[in-house]
Amino acid sequence: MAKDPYAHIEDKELLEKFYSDGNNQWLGILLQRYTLLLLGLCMKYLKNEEEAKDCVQQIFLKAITELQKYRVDYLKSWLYMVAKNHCLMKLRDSHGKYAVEITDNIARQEDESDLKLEHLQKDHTLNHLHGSLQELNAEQKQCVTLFYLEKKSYQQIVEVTGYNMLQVKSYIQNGKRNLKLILEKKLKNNNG
Amino acid sequence: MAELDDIFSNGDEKLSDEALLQYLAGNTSDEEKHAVEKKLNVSSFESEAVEGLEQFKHKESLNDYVQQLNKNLHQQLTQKKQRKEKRKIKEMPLAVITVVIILILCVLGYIAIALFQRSKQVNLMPAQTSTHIISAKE
Repeated sequence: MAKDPYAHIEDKELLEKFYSDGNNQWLGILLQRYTLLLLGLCMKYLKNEEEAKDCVQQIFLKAITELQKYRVDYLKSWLYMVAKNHCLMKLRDSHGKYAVEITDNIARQEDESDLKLEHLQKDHTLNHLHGSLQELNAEQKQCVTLFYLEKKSYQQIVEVTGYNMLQVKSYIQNGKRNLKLILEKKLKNNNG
Repeated sequence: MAELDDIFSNGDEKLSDEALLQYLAGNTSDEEKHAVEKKLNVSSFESEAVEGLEQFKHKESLNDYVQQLNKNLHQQLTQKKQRKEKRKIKEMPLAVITVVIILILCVLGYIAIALFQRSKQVNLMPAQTSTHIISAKE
């Protein structure tokens, strides 16, 4: 894999460079940082290698056009939203199914919620975390503990628990989400 | 309990393409796998992308696909740039013609004013000389 000579420059800085001099080459450097992720995302929805590759090119074109029209601050979240919408539209066109268009708010919801929790953590929420972990159901508690506390990989958890890979991923994801909800509820009660 | 801190941390380091490809190829230790998976759990973009990348038949070709897509991206951008420059060149003669016409009008205006002033002076001159002659005769 070719090394990115601009790797030391943050996305935001590259976007600023593009907005200040209008040189498309900055967009090229930026967008190619996400080619692999876009390819995977398109493949997840379209389930066809060639269609996924075409879709990535269409998303690039769309991004180049849109970024010239208005200012974007968080390229990664924005690109994720654009790509996901594009795939869903494509699916809707080919299957005639209703596709839900995600908004910028939804795309950033997760990040913001993480940031909020990160902030709350500083207020001694760690004490509550241990208690909250006990409130998860057995499968989620087991998988979250093995993954985050014992630092096991998905494969190792599959071997230890006997669950399949999808179940493990789901228990970790849902466990994390539920933990967040329990923790938020506890903090709310404490502050209220 | 410091590990609990990790559950909601966003992880400072970005997940690199190399690390992701190594992970997909299965060329990583359990420790490295866990590190990648922890990052995948933070971002839905990455986790969804991995789900898709795992569906590729020839994962060893993923790098080639990415290179090809990047090459196409740069071609698109270069073409766009060239089209922009061509449009600039096409628009240039009109601007040049406008400037030349304005310059010509300025020069013509200047000549017209100069000629008008000179003819005014010429018209005044004979009248002055005739008064001088009359006064000399007296």
